[in-house]
Amino acid sequence: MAYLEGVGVLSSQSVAASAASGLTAASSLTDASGSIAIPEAIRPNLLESLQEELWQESGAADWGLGREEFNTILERIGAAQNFGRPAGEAVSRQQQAAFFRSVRLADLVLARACATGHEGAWEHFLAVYQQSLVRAAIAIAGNETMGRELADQLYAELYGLTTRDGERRSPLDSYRGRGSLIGWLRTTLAQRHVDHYRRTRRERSLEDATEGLEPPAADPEPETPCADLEALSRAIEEALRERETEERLLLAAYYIDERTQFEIAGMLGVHEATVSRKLRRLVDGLRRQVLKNLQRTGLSRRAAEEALGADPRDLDLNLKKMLQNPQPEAFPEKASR
Amino acid sequence: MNSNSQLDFHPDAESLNAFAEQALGAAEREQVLSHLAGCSRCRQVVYLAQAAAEAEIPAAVAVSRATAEDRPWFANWRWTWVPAAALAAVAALAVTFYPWASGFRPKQTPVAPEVAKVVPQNAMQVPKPTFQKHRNAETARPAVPPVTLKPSAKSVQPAARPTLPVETGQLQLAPSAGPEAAGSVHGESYAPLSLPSASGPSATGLGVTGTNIGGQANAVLFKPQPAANSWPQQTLQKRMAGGPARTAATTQVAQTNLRAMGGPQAARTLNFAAAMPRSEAQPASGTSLEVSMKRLPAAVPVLAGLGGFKLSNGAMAVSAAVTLHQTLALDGTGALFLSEDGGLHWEPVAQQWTGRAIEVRTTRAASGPAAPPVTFELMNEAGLTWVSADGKAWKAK
Repeated sequence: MAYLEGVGVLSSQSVAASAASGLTAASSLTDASGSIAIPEAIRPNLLESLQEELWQESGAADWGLGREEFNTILERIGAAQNFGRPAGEAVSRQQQAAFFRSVRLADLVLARACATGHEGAWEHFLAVYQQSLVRAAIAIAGNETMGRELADQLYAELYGLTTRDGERRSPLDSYRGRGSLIGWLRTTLAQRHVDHYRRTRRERSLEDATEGLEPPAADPEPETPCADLEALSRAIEEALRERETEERLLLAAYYIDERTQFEIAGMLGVHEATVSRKLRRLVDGLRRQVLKNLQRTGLSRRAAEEALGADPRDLDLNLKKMLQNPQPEAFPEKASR
Repeated sequence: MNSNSQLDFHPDAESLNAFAEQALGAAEREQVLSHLAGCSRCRQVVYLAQAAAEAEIPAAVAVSRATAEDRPWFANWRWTWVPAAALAAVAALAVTFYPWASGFRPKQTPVAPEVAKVVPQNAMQVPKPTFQKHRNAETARPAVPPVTLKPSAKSVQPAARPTLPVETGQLQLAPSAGPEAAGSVHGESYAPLSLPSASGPSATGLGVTGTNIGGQANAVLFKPQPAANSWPQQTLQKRMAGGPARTAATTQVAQTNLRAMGGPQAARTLNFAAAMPRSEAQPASGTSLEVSMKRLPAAVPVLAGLGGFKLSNGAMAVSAAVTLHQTLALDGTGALFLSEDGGLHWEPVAQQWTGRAIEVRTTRAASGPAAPPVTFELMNEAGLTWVSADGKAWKAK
């Protein structure tokens, strides 16, 4: 707080007061054409002192970006993401300032300068990111040939070889500086690769897909009575539904994706010991919950424990579907391009 | 929108990357988490991006090592004068105060005349009183080293102990977990596996955060550890294993990823009837590591110079720079942390440089009283350098 005051950003304004003074939430910023419109009410909120600080920090002048252009970029990314707050929530000046300070300004201005075709920016981009991008593509694709092809395709896109409505479009325009630029490039490569793989997998012929597969063997009779199996399925489904989001993600990553605890820890940004502990508690808690759910259906404790010992192959459970969020969130990007 | 349509729309690369880099606010993070829990495509994207980031580390380490090799051999030891000076100061204090503390009161009478008096007397009586007199007299003179060696060594030892890296390494790696704990790190002690395929992915853990921690020094640091199979040592040895093996492992992961993309191959069975994981060896080891670091605050700067310690986010430091009052350390993702209490508490430093930082070091242009103050230097993976006087505000060099 003192720091914000120190750089000239007022800190005493409450959220309610901010809302009353005309701060606008992102939900109301989309105009008829679908692009983000910046209402005049937002402009005065980016105080001059903060603008100056961010301008100096970004090095935008090195890439030929004017102050007005820079401020517009900031305002647009702030409005598009409601300054990192949930959509519809009023945002105070401090929250706006904190949001802008969390943006990777140097990466952002470089990306925007490249998108506009600034030669010096491209030279810098290639010097800094070219090798990293190729290495990342090779690691993602799993071999050098495919990796280089993947990197070349992305380069072409980044350079703006694709056009829409007669205008060059570069994916760098969509970079908003929330994470690092190199991280964004890696994630974009990974998206391209996964989408390409999924698309081509769908195009495989049935003969190719079934080649070498043994004909399915007849299912043996389940040892556990069918009524108990149904009760067990319901009990598991209920127990999973009550889990929190992160716990569902842990289960999906560990049991469906078969990821190591180290990989999961990297994804969640925690130590792998934390993942180990959480998984242990989670499975422990799920077991207790399933037992409780079974007992609620009238089974004794012993019968419930016996039911838990059923062969998992006898259960008709779609764990993947159960772990999906019952309240799906809307994201702007379509699955395949 | 029904639940199926959840899979038709995905977070963009910006959101997924910001999620992986912990740059999202709580509400946005929860939104992405919620999507990831049900979307194998986006989880796949995050894993692959993560694997690509890990593949970068050997290259960064190579650059870092090459830079280190360019420096003269004594450059890495320039801060050893700090503990050496502390040791000398304690020794001087011990020399000064030991005679007083041990009850000796040096006589003001000159020694030489007494000796001169004794020598002409009976030879049988000479040794004992002469020795005593001599000892007293010499102890009273702090400048004479042979006499002061014994008491000063006794006084100095406790202060000198934390500065010895080998001893510190033994403390850190004291085997607190039994052999049963060794296999539980990657989940092998969890529910029974119906298809054994976890060995490939587990290899990706090699060297992600620790490959840059000064190789030779750490080899010395952990060599005396007798418990060869304990988790910390295994992990550290793996992390110090180096580049080619990891690159191969990453390639293997990419291939495994492709296989895994084919659909749910439930190699791990969520078996509620199965026994719970047998031990918590990993958390226990981690805890003992932290505790031992806290017990030895004076040792932290030395450890920082050698690498091999944990930061506040749980990651291992891959590069560190130490001054008298500040310690800067980088983790494997390039995040910078600052400690002003010898490594007990770490504050993240906001990124003010481009690319991923791979090395942080100190620099001094000249020596002598008129020399400029020590500054920190930070280098990113492209070899660009930033400088900072206080470790918090950075400018491009």
